[in-house]
Amino acid sequence: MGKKVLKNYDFVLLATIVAIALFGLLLVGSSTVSGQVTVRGLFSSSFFLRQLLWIVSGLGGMFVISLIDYNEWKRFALPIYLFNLALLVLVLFKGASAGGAQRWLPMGFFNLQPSELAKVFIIITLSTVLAKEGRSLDRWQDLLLPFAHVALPMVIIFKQPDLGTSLVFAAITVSILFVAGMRWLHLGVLSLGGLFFSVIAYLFLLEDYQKSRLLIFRDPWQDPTGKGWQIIQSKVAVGSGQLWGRGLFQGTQNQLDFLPVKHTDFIFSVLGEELGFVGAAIFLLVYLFMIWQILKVAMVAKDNFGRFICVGVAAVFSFQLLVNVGMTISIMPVTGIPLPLVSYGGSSFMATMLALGLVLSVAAHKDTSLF
Amino acid sequence: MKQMQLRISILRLVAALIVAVLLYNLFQIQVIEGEEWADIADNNRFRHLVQRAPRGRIFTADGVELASNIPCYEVALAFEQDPAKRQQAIDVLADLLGMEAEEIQNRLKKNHRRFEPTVVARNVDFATVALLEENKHRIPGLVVQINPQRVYPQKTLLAHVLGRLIDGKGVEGLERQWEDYLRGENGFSVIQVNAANSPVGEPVNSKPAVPGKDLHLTVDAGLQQVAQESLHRVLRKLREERKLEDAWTGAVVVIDPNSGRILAMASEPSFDNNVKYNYAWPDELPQKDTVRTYRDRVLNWRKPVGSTFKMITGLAALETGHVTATEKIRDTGSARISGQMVRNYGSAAYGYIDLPRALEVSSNIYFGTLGSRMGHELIYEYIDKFGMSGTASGESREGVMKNAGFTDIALDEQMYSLDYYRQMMKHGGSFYPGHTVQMSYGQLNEFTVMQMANYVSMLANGGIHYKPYLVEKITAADGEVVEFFEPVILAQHEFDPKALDVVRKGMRLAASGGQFRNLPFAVAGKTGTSEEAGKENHAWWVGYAPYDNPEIAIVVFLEHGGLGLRATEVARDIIDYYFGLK
Repeated sequence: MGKKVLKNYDFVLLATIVAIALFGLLLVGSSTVSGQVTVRGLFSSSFFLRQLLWIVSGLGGMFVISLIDYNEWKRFALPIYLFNLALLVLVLFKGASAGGAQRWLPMGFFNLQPSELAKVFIIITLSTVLAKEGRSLDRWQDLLLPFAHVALPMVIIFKQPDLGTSLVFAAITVSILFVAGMRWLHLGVLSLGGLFFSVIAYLFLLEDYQKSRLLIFRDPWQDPTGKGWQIIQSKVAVGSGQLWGRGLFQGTQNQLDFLPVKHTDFIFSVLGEELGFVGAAIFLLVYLFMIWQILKVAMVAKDNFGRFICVGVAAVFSFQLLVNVGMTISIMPVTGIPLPLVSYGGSSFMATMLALGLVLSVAAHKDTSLF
Repeated sequence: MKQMQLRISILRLVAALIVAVLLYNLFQIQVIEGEEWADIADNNRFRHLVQRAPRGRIFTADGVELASNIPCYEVALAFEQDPAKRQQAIDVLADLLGMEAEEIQNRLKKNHRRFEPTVVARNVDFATVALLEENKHRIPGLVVQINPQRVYPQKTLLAHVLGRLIDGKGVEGLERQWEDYLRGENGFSVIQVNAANSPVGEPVNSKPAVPGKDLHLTVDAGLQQVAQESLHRVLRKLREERKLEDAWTGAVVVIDPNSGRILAMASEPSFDNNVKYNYAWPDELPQKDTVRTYRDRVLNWRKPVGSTFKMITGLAALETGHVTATEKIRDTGSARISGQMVRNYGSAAYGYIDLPRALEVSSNIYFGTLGSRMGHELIYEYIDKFGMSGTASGESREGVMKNAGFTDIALDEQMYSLDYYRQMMKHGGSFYPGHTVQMSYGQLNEFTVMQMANYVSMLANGGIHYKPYLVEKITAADGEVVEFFEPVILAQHEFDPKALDVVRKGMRLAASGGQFRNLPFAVAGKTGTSEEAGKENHAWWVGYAPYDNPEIAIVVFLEHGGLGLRATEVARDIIDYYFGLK
């Protein structure tokens, strides 16, 4: 197998991933080191060092996973699904809270955020369900099982409450069902239903803090030094980057601490301010290239299981890119969704690496004889 | 299979569309609007300005302002991100304000709320503010805010009672006890300023300040003034004419016996509340901690009260049948009673005298005899009835109140009276019948001036214990009455009217000569001279006027004033003013 795997290995995707991760590391450094940024300074930032540790170990883990035939995971679909549910339930009761939500399990040296892992787990298990031989999605009732499958963990995450991540689940489900052959009619009806449900959910299901966070991005000026603060400061940061940016490590908004949670959720604001439109555009295009490359793997995958995995992973990247970057420029509400591969954070990074490991495995184990 | 390929391609397009939307918006913000945003980042800052609520004012019953506010300027620096400009602002400001640049730097460092200007100097005068405004362009981030400052326009008037503030918060007196009403609610406004540090447009957000509520006291400003001046003048006279070197301190209370309203309460020496605390004393005052103290001598000071106590002894003996109105006791000027050597003032002998006459001449022999007949328990029972119960060593005791139940000033700024019997019992001392004798003419036990005022009031009104009070009304800034305090009856004793009448008759006789000549009405009163070992005697006078229809009860206390008689001059001044006789 070794030779074939190596021959098929998608080194272009691997290189893109490594490049984006290292670029993110640089931004984490810029947003957590104060004053003159030096190499020494970077290596004295605990955020920088931890992110570096996660990148090194994450890339290693990703590589190992990419060498294993992804079809091996299929057998463990049920245990994975149950484990996923167990972790999510555990965080509901034992989790540490921040900002009104319970999302973390303290693990000693780092906090595990099970909802990040849940994304990858649900991609694997949902793909297993939909890749079963002879499954059809023609009738309404065919959609019931996949929906129920996703709904269970999704509701628990929504309860944490973590609205953003539960929406990521929706994006994963719709994308995979779409590629798996869901009918256009069903898609259209479901979209309308989703819209209707969103209105109902906003009115009756959301916590007050979620509502105010959701709405404030429309008019942050109504509370410029309170709830609107980070939205305004982020937009000021991005906008002030102008065409060329203020230069890496030179952003005043960033360096003078006007930006809140800039190394995690608002890391793109640092990018926008310091590298300008040109830097942001290059970054977005490289990111898009990565998504395209993942979807290319979906096209050439040897089976539907592998294909669905790639589609699910691409959906996560696309959706989170839109919501996260959109949030920094006030076209999306603040939902606390990180930018995968770039934002500081162990759980998010490790889960992303696991997902990309699977994609690389799909690529490496594709059936070349077809081409 | 074909269909899947197509749909994956569609997903690719969706991803591309997402990136396109983001790029379009980024282009808008960064390239088209970029300069504006950069301008905001560089120069425009939000300023979160606090609008300080003026503190509630304090008025006398006749509307004289005792505590008020004047606008004061506060100089602050908004955060400036350019280090060079920041340093320039600090240097220029330090120069113009005469401060150390380092101190300003430290203050800036301590402020972690970037959008709130850091206060650099308070109470800056107008000339300096004008100078700063002229140099505004050299001081990036300069903010001048108005901060209302507490002032006491009447200076020394009622100074002890008003109390004081530290950092805008009441820490003593009325300012402390009524803090919740007096303190207003700060407002704020968020404004944007441009590169020239001038506000741009309307405030982005604001909330007006809510001023504190005003206190209206029962005190009459004119009467208070007279009480303070008279007290001051008489004490000076005692020092200068009678060589009573220690006569620097004293107190006066005037109270309405029919309601408990305090009309005046003076404590000498007074001080100017506007002057920085430790410098408020006049230079002439001796360097003594007991003199240069801010302790209110009405509420937070106690002494033996001498012969002013004799009405209690007399009333108790009459009511309990230990003496009758007509019984005459032989006064030989000096005698041994229950083993205690008792002497009248100047050892004067008055022969056979009844109770009114005994009060008139202030016979220690007569009241010492009554005391020995009654025993201390009965005397303490009557002390209780007049709301004057005390404690040993100043510790609290259940059911015992400070200053007859006065609560308009915090209790920890007030004193319990001293119960001599309890004190002896507590510390293992001995209590002899001789002690009871001394007690019955006002020695050993110690009382506060406010307690004495309530005691005289009860003699005047026939036994109703009104809670003494000072705050009558609280109003909001718009004049609306928030609270109104009616008189409160704490206890009502049915004293035997005949007994009371005998005692009152004695008080009338005792206040018929001297200072109380040439009045259109009779006055009831009693002098007292109490002893303190090794020191000059204290002078007391308690009384009420008019005798027939009491309107005011008065207590005058001249610490180390030598002789009770000396206190009557102050009482006369008060009567003259109150009844408009001069």
